[in-house]
Amino acid sequence: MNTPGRPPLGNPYLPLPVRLERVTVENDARDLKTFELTFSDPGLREKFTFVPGQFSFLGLAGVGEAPFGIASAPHEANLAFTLKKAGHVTTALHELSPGMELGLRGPYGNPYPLHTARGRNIVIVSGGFSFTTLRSVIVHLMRPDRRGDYGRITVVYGARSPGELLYKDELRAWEALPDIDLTLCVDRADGDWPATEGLVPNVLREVAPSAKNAVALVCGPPVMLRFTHPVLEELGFSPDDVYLSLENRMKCGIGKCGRCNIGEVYVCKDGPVFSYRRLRELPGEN
Amino acid sequence: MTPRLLAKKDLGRFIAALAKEAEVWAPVKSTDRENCRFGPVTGAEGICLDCLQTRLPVKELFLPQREILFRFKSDSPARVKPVSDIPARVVFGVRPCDAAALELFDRVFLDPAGDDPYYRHRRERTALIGVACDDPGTACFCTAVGGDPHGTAALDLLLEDIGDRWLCRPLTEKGERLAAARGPAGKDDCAETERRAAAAREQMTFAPDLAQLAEKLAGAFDHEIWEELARPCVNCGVCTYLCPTCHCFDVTDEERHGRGARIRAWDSCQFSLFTRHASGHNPRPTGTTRLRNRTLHKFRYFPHTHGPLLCVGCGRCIIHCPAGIDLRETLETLTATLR
Amino acid sequence: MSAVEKLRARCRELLEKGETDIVLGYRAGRRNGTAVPAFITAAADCDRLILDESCHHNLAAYLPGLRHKGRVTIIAAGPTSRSVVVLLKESQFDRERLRIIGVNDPARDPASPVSGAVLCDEYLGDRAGTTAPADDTALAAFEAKSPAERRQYLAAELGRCIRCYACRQVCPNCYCPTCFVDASRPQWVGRTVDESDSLMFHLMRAMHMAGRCVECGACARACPMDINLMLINRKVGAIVRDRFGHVPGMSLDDPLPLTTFNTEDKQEFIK
Repeated sequence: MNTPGRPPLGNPYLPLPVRLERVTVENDARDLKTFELTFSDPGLREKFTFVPGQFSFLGLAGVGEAPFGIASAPHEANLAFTLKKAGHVTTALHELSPGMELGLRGPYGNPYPLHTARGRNIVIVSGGFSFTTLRSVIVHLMRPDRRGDYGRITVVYGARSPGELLYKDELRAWEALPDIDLTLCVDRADGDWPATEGLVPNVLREVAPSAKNAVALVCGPPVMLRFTHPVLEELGFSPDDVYLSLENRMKCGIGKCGRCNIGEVYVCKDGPVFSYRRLRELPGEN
Repeated sequence: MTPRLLAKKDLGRFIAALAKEAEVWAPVKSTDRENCRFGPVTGAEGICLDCLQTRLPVKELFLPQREILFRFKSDSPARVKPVSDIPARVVFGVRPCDAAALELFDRVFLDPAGDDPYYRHRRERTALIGVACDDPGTACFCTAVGGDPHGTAALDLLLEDIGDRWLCRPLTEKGERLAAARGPAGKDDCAETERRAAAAREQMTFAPDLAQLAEKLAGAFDHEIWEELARPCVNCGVCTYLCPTCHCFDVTDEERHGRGARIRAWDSCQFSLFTRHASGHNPRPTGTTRLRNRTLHKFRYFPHTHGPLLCVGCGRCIIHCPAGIDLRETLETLTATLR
Repeated sequence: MSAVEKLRARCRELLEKGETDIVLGYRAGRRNGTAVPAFITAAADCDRLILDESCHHNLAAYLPGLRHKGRVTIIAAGPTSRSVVVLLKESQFDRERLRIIGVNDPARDPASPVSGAVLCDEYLGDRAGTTAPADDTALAAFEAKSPAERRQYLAAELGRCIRCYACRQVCPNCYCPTCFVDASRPQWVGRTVDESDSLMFHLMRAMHMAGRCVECGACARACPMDINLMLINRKVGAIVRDRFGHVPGMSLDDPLPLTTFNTEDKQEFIK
């Protein structure tokens, strides 16, 4: 579990055929959908190992492909991805219905440092639809046979409105559990969801998770990241104990196509997860 | 390995012999222009060795501007057909700078952590015969970036002009085989190539301290000098597409009547779309940020990761920049400005 | 005082008196016989200005990028001045913030029939004549070919295109925030060097230039693959002259032919 998963095929550009099993519309705007996938060749599922935080490319022949964080946990049977309809690839993927085939490449990138976080408290901070890989983390940590490996789990997760929160059924279930401390927040609350009103960094400050023996895993839009760092610093988190997952436009996933660099590192192969200390050394170009 | 001799008048027979075993590529004049490009040949006819360099570097034979990664049928999208093999090739007439760029490509595409099978295949199936430069152009500066007008990097065989003959210097076993039928060269012939190489080096006077510049560039990201350097730049792709070391690419799908292919195509960090997210957010939204990235990639990031600079001093970007920007001047300005 | 010394003195004066914020001219390149567009903001730097046969760039291409950078003084020979006229007519620059110093074309590019500036606030030296472009023999020879030969010729020329977009980037008329070749939703044109993609790019671009291209030749000079782009531009220019009696960029007062409806317009294409 310590080493990140790597693609099971020799040719990194060849996609593996996967079948779309289930599509879940996640939000009111209907532009966020979760795709559950199985390998068309069932033997491949076993060879496809990954650690939460890694990503894969999903694509359609004739349309193209794009990278997405893996939203499912390693032990779950189906691979899951949550896609926002934005560019031409996601627009085409949003048209698919169960039973259809698409292509998958991966897994790529470096995951969240869950192996070094054993025995420590985990603080998860996320905003918007980038919650995906952190869902993978939470489900992974909550596995009964693994839950004892980690201390307290604190989650602060926000979205514009309650309708925009991902994985609502799971969020409700987690809210009821004693061994995860979940705070949801929204820019504007409405009647049917008891979420706090406020921006993620501010709510994080109120929740004030202890930095003692804790690791913070953060993923969200650039503006949320910018305002979250100072709060974590205030709370006493060392830059070595804050990990962020970044996104950049990429085409290959293996450090060759040249577009996802921030300074000398490539988000695809040196990231997408970076410690805040490492990120601070890099040029402010993201 | 024994240096050998090839009479220039025998070039046709030499090429014809090579062509029996492999596809031979050489600089050929295209139509009525001076725009030379690597093309297939079977003899000496059409080969142009007068021009200093081909307009496009030899990289196009290893990372083609448009390359099929695999083909597919739209009704069964997942069943892909990988690209087929290429024949064995010999490339004749490669300049040392262009060849040296392939050693830099090797560091990216033959990386054990993520091997590129298409590049590897082309590289392994190709032998390179270089022709040394005795008369560098006004934009050449290979000596400033670790190269040499008689450089041997990535070559299998180097041809050095000694009048009506070439001295053929085998550099690999492949090269030894290519020159095996030739008679051995004498001591005087070798001395003549030394003399010519030294004279060629003399012609290139640009000699900045680029190791020191790489250090200075480490802290130069937010410096205002980039704005000034980027002003004349029109943000076209000439410098990147003509560059032997630029290797960024796009992956795109083409489809017609139910059949299609996933294509790898050259892309340029100078285009605004290069880094633009689907959301519209762009980490490098301006010409200044893009020119800065290209310069830093070549003279800071790549050397930091791999050692050598990502520039072989061929001068194509200088000669063909529509705005007349001279990379040497850019490096001089940076050296003088940064602390 | 030589012409270039007069130019330097005048620009220095404009900057010193605060009458302009930036002078857009030419300076010497590092290599002999080359020039680089210069953006001069300090009076002391005016000594770097040059004006000789290496000064071939159409400086109007930089104007849209200087829209929010204060008052601009541009050194304009015939071709640059005609492009300035087109940009002003298309509301791409504020006339009030632009000072044009007219000069005779130092590059004397044979591709451009106009030597002297057509529009200026002041002129350096004796003003050279301004002549409209004439139909040329290369175009006549091309038109004499059969449609198949013409297609073959264009496919061979444009088949060399490497899609570096130097032609588009140096063109003062190409200022669209998102070019049609860059649009991805929908994607109108493929991004590779497939013949159909390259033909589509260049012919659509030529269409978009109709009634606007001043035939300065900047695109052809910028092309690293020596594509005969001017043939296409001249053809488009000839059609516009024939149909609308219009020569782009000669006067601020002419209506723009393709954005102005005239009941006299030929419309025999409607059958």
